Amino acid sequence: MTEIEEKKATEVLRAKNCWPLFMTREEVEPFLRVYEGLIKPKMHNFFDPFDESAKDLDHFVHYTNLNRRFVEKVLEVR
Amino acid sequence: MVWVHGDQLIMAPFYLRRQFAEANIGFYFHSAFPASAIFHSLYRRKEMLQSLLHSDLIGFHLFEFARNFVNTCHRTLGLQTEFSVGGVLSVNYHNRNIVVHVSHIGIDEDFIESIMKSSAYRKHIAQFNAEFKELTARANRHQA
Repeated sequence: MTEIEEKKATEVLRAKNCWPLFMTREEVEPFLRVYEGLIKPKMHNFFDPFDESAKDLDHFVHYTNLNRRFVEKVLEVR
Repeated sequence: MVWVHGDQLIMAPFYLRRQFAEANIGFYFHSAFPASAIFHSLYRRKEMLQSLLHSDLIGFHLFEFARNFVNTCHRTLGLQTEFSVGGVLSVNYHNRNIVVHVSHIGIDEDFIESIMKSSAYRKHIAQFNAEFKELTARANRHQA
């Protein structure tokens, strides 16, 4: 999304008391590798392929970083 | 009160507690929670479990999932479970009692259908489609 689209989406959502969090592809892809490749197959989707290579520490850091960004958004609302 | 939904945000309670110590944190699992043996094979399991235990209440759809969680807390971290007054199940972690709650979430289909048939809904959808015609909205829900 462009900056203008983000601003517009924020305005629409804020009117509904929602606070959007915009993520970049660079943030989302390693997050999804950990979530889709490690967490989801173990937690509930047992037949999903397990991605052993996502065990790399750097990827888990991306998972926690995105979690932290959600928390920062909550603190912003507070 | 801060509600965290779904296992995409397992580490959120940890950061939330660290930066907002007095927050009342609820975490709800919209999916199953595995048996402790399976959870035990999960990479970074201790960090994830400890983060969840920064919540004040952890909710599950079914008792089986809550039982798996309680067993996992016991087998992974050696935590004790207790029933307090009123039959509330809780896990004791660093002298805090984290409530384990079971409440099945579903939707009232008749209510949703009645809304979808209303003219107000159709007007809202037309307005939304006109405003965001270049965007695709996607919704997903995992089966519990």
